[in-house]
Amino acid sequence: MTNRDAMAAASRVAGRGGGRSGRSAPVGLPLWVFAGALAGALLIVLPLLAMALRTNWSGFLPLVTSSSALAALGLSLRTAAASTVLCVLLGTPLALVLARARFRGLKLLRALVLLPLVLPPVVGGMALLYTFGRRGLLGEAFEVAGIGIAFSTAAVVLAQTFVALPFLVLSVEAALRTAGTKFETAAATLGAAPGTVLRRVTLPLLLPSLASGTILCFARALGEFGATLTFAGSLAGVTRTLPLEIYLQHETDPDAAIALSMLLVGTAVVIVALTYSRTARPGSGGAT
Amino acid sequence: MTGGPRRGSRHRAAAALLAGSLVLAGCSGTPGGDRTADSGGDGQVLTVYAAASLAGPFTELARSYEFAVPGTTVRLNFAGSAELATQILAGAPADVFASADSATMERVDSAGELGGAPRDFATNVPALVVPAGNPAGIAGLADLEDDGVALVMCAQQVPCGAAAHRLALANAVSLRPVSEENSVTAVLAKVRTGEADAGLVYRTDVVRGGGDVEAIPVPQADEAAVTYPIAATRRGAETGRGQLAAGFIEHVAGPKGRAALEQAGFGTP
Amino acid sequence: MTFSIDAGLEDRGLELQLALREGETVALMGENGAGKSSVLGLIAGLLRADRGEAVLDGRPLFGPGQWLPPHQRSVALLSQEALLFPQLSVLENVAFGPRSQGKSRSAARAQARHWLTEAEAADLADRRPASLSGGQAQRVAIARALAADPALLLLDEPLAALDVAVAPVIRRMLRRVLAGRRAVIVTHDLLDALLLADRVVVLDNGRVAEEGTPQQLLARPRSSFTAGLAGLNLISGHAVEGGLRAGERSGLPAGTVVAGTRAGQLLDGEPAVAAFRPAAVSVFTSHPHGSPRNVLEVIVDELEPASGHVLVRAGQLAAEVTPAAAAELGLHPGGAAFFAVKASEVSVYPARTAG
Repeated sequence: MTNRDAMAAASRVAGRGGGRSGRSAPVGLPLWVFAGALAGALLIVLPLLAMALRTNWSGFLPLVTSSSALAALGLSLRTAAASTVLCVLLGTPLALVLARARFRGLKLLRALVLLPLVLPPVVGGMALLYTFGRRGLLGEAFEVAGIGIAFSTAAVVLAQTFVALPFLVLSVEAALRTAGTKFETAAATLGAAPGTVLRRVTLPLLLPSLASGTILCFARALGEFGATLTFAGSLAGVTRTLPLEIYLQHETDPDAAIALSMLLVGTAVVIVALTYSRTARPGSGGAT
Repeated sequence: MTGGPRRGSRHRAAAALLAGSLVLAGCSGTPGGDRTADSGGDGQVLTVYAAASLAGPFTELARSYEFAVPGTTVRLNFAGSAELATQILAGAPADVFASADSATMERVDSAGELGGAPRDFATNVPALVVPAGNPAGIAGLADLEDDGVALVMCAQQVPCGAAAHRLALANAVSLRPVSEENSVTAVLAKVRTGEADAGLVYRTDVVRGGGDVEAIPVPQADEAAVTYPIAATRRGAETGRGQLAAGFIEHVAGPKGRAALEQAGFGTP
Repeated sequence: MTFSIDAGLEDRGLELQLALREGETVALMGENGAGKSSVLGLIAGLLRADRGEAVLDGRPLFGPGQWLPPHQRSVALLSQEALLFPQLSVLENVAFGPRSQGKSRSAARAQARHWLTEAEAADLADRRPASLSGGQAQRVAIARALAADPALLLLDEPLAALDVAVAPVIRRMLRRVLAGRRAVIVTHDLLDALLLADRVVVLDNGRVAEEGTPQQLLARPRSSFTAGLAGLNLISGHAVEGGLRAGERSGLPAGTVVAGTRAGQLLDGEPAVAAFRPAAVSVFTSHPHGSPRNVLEVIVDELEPASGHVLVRAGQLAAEVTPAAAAELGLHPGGAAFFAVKASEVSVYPARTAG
C-alpha cells in the first residue's frame, strides 16, 4: 500500500512538472471504476455490434447502392454540407459575440442559442414549422414573395442548421474563452484594428476548434431526423435524407434499413476519429 | 502486480456487469408477457398491438372487454402496422395483432408468428382531406395533378400509401406528392396545420380530424378499400393466453365491436 | 510636457496625475493593489476612466466625450507574459505592428529584423514561439513592442516572470533600448527602478504618494513602501522642536516624541518623517534608564535571519542585532523589548517632496 502511495505521489509530481515528457506514470484508479467503464462501453458498443451481426453482408452492396439509397445518401451529403457551411458562417460570428461582446441579455441569448442541444428534435421541427411553414411567422411572407420553403430541400438544410448550429457555437465559444483576450489586447496595442485582430490573431487561434466544431456540425446535420421529418416532410431526392430513408425502410425492408444504418455508423466512426485525432493533441493544434 | 487483487477485481467487475444487466432487465418492463405470474388470481394481462387508425374504437373495446371478462387487463400498443409487424417479428410480446392491411398480416403469418388464422373485421377507404376552409380550392382528385397543389400522402411502402395509389389508379390521375410520410397520422398532421393543401388519408381520419379538416368526396373509393385483419399471435398462444386472445377477437368482430368501429368510420367486410 | 494623464477610476480607487517629458522613463512602484496596472490599462485604452483625460503629443487619448481605441493610440503594452502569437513565426510576430500600421511586407520585415537585432534575438527570427524559452520569448516580445514604433511604451513587470538567471541579461538589454525613450514601467524590483527609470513614482491606494529620482527616494524615503525598499525605519508625524511627534499611523503611541536631527528646511508642526537604519537600533529587554537616546517600547513580531545578522521586527520598525546578542537577550516573538536609537542617527525631514 505504501508502495502504491509512493507511486501515486511520484506520478503527481511528474504530472505537475513533466507535462511534456512522453511517458505518463500510472495513476491509481479504483478498480470498480474500470468495471463501470466497461459496462458503460458495452452499453454503447454492444448494440452497434448486434446490428453489425444482423447485417446481411452478402446483400450489403446492392442494398446500399439501390437508387433510393443513393438518392438519400446524396441528398444527405449535399444538405449536411450546405448546413455545415451555414453553421460556420452564422455560428462563428455568434460565438464571437457571445464570448466577447458585452450587453444586456447576453446570457439569455446564450441560453436560447444552445436550446436546440437539449430540445427534442421534433419540437425543433414544430418550431421551424411555425416560423418557416406556409402559415408560419415568416413563411407566409416568403410564400407571398414566391419563396416556398415548405417541403423543399431548403427546409431540410434549415432543420439541420437549426440542430447543428449550437455545436459549432459551443466549440468555438469555449475556445475563445479558453484563449482569453490577452492576445487580442496585445495585438490592439501594437496598432492592429479590430478587423486585423480578428483576421490575424483571433481566427488563427480558433482554427483547431473551428475544425472540430465543423466536423461535429456536419455529423449532427447528417444524423438529423426528427426536425426534418416534422418540418420538411419526406420525398425521395428532395427531402428524404438517409435517416428518413432508414426510418421508412425499417417498416418494410429491415435488411435495407440495417445496411443503410451501418453506412451511417461507418460515416460517424470516420467523423469521430477525425475530430478526436484533432482534439487529442493539445497544444500542437495551434502551431501546425 | 500480483495475481490476487487482480483476480478479485475481475470478479467484482463481473458482479457489477451482472448487476447492471439485472437493472436493465428490470427497466425493460415487458408489457403483458411475464407479468401473468404476479397479476394474481384469475387476473390476466392481454397485450394487443393495433394499427394507429384503430386507436379510438380499440380503446373503447378494451375497456368493454375488461368489463365483460372480470380480472382481465388489456394493454394496447398503437403504431403504424408495418412498424408493429417489425416489432412482433423481433419478438415483441404481443398476444393479438390487428393490422391495417392484409399484406402486413401476411408478413407476420409467413414468419410463423401467428397463433391462428387472421380474421377480417373492418374495412376502411381512402379519403381526400383539405385544411378547414379548403384554401387551395380543391374540388376533386383531378385538382391534385396541378403543380401548385401541395399534396401529402403516405409512402407506397406503407398500407395507407398503397391504398392511395390504388385510388389514384382507379380514377386515372397521377399523383405528385410533396411529401411521402410513414404514417397516416403524419399526413393528417400536415393537413391540419395547413402545410399541405391536400392529403390522402382514410375515411376514419376525417372523423379524427374534427373541424380542422374537410373531406372532399372521391369516386371509386370503395375500389381502393383496405381490409383490417386481426389474429392471435403464436407467442400469445404459447404463453397460455390463446383463450383470452380468441375472446378479444370475438369481441371485436361481434356486435359491440362492429358498433364501435362503425362509429369511428370503419366499414364491415 | 509630451504625455500627461489626469484621471480617476472609482471602483479601483484610482486618482492620478502623471506627466512624462520627452524621452523620460518613469517607474511606477507601490504595494500590490495600489493601482499600478490600472494606470497602464487607462493609458493603453483597456480600461475606461470615470473622469479625467490623457494627452499624448497633443492628441487626446481620452477625455470628456472623447475616446481613442487602443489601436489608434500608438501606445504599446508589454506585459509579464510575452504573448507571442503562436501561429506566427518570430519574425512575423515582430513584423505584426508595422504590418498592422499599413507597412508593406518587406518594409515590415526589415523593421522586424532591425528590432530583433536590437533585442539580441536576430537568430530566433525563423523559430516558432512554442520553441522559445521564457527569456527568448520576452526578448522577442520587447522587439515586437519596439517595432510597432509606439509614441509611448508601457511595460507591466516585464521581468517578473523570468528566471533569476535570465532577468539581469534582459534588464541590461532593456536599459539600452529604453534609453531616451518615453516609457512607463510598472515594477516591484528596486533594480528595475535604479537601472531603467529616470524617475520613480510611488502609488499608494491609487494616489501618488511620492516621486523623485531613484537616488532621492532611497536616500529620503517618505512612505513605508520606499522605506522598505531602502531598508530604513520610518516614522511619520509632525515636526517639533528637536525631533518629531509620532502621528496616528506611525505605529507608536500617539504623541511619542522621537528626538532627531533635522535635515533641510522644516517648520514646527509641518508633516514630517523620521528615518533611521535598523543597524543604528540597540535592543534591550529592560528599560535602559539614563540614556541620551530615544527608547521605544515594542513587542517583537518576528526574528528574521539576514546576512550575518538577525533582524528583529516589531510593528513597522526593525532592529539589526548580531545572532549572539539575539541569543543572549532571549528575544522571541511576542516578547517585550526596548528599541533605543541615538538622536544623531535619526533624520527628520519633510513628509512631502519639496516643490
